[in-house]
Formats: sequence, C-alpha cells, structure tokens
Amino acid sequence: MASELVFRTCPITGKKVYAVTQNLIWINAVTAVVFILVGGIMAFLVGMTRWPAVHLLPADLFYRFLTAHGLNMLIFWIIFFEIAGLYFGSSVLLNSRLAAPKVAWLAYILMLVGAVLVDIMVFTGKADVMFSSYVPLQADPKYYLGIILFAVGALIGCGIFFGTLAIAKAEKTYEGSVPLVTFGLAAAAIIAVFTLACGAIIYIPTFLWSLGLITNLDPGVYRLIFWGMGHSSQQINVTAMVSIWYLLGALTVGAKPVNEKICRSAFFLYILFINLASEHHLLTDPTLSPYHKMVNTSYFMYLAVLASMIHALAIPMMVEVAQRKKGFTKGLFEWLTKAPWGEPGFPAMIFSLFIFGFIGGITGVVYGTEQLSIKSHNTWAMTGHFHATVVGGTTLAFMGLTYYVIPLIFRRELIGKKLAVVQPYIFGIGIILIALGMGGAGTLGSPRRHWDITFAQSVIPFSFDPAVIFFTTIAAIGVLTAVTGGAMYVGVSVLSVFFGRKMAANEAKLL
Amino acid sequence: MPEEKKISGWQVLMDDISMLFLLGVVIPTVLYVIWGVMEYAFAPTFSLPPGPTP
Repeated sequence: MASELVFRTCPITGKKVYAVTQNLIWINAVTAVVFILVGGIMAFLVGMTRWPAVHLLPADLFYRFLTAHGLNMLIFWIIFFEIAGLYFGSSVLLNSRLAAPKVAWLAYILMLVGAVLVDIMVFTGKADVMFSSYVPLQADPKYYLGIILFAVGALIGCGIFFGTLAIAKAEKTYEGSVPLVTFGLAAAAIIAVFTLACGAIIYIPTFLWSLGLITNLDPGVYRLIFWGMGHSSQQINVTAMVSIWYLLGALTVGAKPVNEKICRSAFFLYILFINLASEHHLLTDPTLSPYHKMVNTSYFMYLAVLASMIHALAIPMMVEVAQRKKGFTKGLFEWLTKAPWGEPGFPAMIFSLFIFGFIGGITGVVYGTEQLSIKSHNTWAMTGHFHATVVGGTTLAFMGLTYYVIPLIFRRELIGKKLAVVQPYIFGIGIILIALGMGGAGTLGSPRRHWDITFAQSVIPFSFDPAVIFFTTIAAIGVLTAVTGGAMYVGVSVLSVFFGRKMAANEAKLL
Repeated sequence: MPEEKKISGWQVLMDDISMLFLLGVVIPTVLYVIWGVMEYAFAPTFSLPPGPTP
C-alpha cells in the first residue's frame, strides 16, 4: 500500500504524480507506440499494393496485412494510448492516488496478451477475416479469444478510471467540478464501456462457434452487435481526441473554455447519442426497418453531430480569446498568425481539428445518410472518411500530446525537437492527401478492401475512369508522406523515452 | 483574492458520473442493440420451395 502512495510534485503544473500511475501511463503509452509501429509498417505495405504503379504484395498477403493494419491501428494503438490517457486524466489531473494499481497491471497484461495473440493469429494466416471478421468467415478460436482478453482488459482499465474518480471525490483531492478534460475522458470511458460490452457480447458466442460448440450464428445479429463495438470504438477516439484538444489548447497557449457549461453539454450529447452512429454500417441492410435506421442515424445521431459542431467552435474560440488576452489583437487573424506554430502541440491540434472537422466530419455526415450510404458504402471514399477522422483527427492529436507527456510525466527531455516540430505538418499533409485521394477515387467507384483495381486477372475486362488512377496516386503519395511522419513520431518518442536526458526533480521545462 | 466561480445546477448534474454512465449505456443498448436484435428476430423468414435446389 505504502509504495502506491509515493508521489512527486510536478514542477510545472503543481500536480501530484504518483509513481504507480506514472509507471502505468508509461507502459501503456510505450506499448501503444509499438502497435502504431506495426500498424504503420502494414499501412506502407497495403498502401503500396493499392497503388497500381507498385502493386507490392500478392493477394493473400494484402488481405492479411490489411487485417493487421486495421486491428493494430484502430484498436490496439488507440486503446492502449487511451488507457494511458484515462490514468492521466483521473489520477494526475485530480491529484489522486490510482484505484487498485495491481488490478490496473492485470488489465494491462490482459490487453497485451490479447493483442499479441491476435497479431500472432493474423500474421500466421489463421485469421484472414479482415477487421470486421464477419461470420460465416471463421478464424482460429485463439483470434477471438485474443480480442475477448483485450476487451476485458480495457474494460477493467475503464473501471480503474471510474474507481479513481470515486476516490478523488471521497478524499476531496479537488474542489468543485472535475476539470473539463477529465469530464471529457469520463465521457470517453462511458462510451468505451458500451463499446467493449458489445465486443464481449458478440465475440464470446463467436469464439464458441469457432470451437464448434455453437452451430448457428446469425450473420445479421453479428453485424449489428459487432458494429456496436467496431464503430463505437471510434467514438471513444472522437471523445478522447476532443478532450485532448482542450488539453493541448491549455498547454500551448494557456487557453480556457469560454463557456464550460456549453462544452460539458456537448460531451453530454456524445454520451447519450454518439454510439447510435454504429447504425451507419447497417443502412444498406434490408432486414432492419427504416424506423430503426432513421431514429438511430437521422434523428438522434445528429445531436452528437451538433456536439461536434459546438466543440469545433468552442476550441478555436478559446484559443482566440487566450491569444487576444496576450495582446495579439491586430486585425482578424493576428491571434492565429502569432500562435505557437513552432511548438509541436499547436499544429498537431489545428491540423487534427481541421482534418477531423472539414474532411472526416463532413464526409461522415454526408455518407451517413441512407441514400448516399447505398452508393458509397463499399467504396474507397469511406476509407478516406475514416482515415480523416481516426488518423488525421485522433492519431494526430495523440501524437501532439505525446510531446508534452514525455517531459511532464516521464521526465525526459525530447530528443530531436526540430523533428518533433515538423512532424505534425508532414503527417497532417500526408493524411490530407490520403483522405482526398481515397475520397476522389471512391466517389468514382473504386472499391474499398480491394487488391487490384485494374482487374488485370478478371475474366471480364473492366477499367475505371482514368481519374481513379490519378486519385489513387495522390493517396499513395499521401501514404508515403504520412508513413514518413509516423516514423518521425515513433523515432522521436521512443528515443526520448529511453535515451532522453533525465530531467531534474525541480526542472520546470516543458519543451 | 481568488476569483469565486459560481457552478451552475446543470454543471453539478453533469458531474454525476453514475447518472451519465447509466444514460450512456442504457440509451444505445435500447435504441440500437435491443431494438435491432428484435427486428432480426421477428424478420419474416423465407423457405425454399420443395424439390431440388436450383
């Protein structure tokens, strides 16, 4: 017990950082970076195969690596990082000891064992079922077991977060309301509980089915509940990402929300309605009634879209107010032009906001209508949409935050600060090219999850509009650019965490 | 003198994590999962006519 209460006081923020919390944040964040490295290598291989000029992999490896890319990026990288974020948002921001640290370690071990098991199954060719693993496609039972272990571990991590909130409240480690960032992360954790519960509900019978203990698994019900996990896991990302935008605003320009009540209300709308967006994957399913589709996506889902629009106005507004208070008041945009563009956190936040809002968000709302979903659902345009939201939005925000977590929590000085400053620009531009290229090609009919869009081995010859090749090339250039940016992120963060100069206990230097 | 902050009733309500948790889990479970499963369960079934499969 006593070792769980050892803490240091952060010389920059004045917050208590408990040693056990610091270690858990460290291990979850470092593991997340390992998985983004695996997913990034897969991104390069898959991207270079989609590009007809290179067409790198044979068909079987393309689909195998695409499965690995989806799982490592969408699930493992992001959820490990989010668990680190939950421990930071509860224990550090609330000055509180962490609830049940040993259980938190157990959660980490379950997640790690699950993720490694899944990757082994995928890379050994025993789970060529793509990210969605739709039944009746069947993988090795150990694949489903791995996902169940991972989901249970992540659920326990969410439980640790809620337990820490309860301890902080009981021990009065903070006054008034929880900080907005913690509130946003609580919203993300609530969304995560529904998400991971859906994962458990559908993967446990699927696991039994793969063992032969259940003979019939309804593909329609599988799709319904799978997307309760598959899409909602991206809603955890959205909510965590918005919380990080608020945090980056505070860290980079000292911004505070102009109206916290509005911001909290927007998070409240996320909690209530954002998970209903899972229905987007079922809009072309003839079994579900129009009522189910309309209530979920056309009525309630738009309340979550409204929440995103509130955040999209609130965050630039708080940055503008903070900058104007510093005296940057000339004209309409001096507050923006004099912003700290030379710090990695600020461009990461702005790129993330722009790419998520203007590319990912708008395309999401458009493709989320039933009529356009029918036309676009299985095209590459959809892939462009979620690369803008999850990669350009969430991943870029997480990358920006990493550069502050390393000195603040891990007490290491960044190695390669210049690379860290340039990295969000390179990664952001790469993702914009990917999203626009995929969007353009997909709008012209280029299919998603397809090995060869030239249909070279097809019995019946077919070719797309030549513009498809142009847009595919744009996306491929984007892949090369983003992979470069991703490699810079992994390089800077790994080198800094392991070899960065150890900062003195009272050293109050951020970057 | 630190500036005193007035916390609204709505914000206090927002701090009730248990209530938010309940709403956040119940709403999508009812509207999306349970309603959806019921629609699959009660979907009319189609039987192939007797005889050899075409």
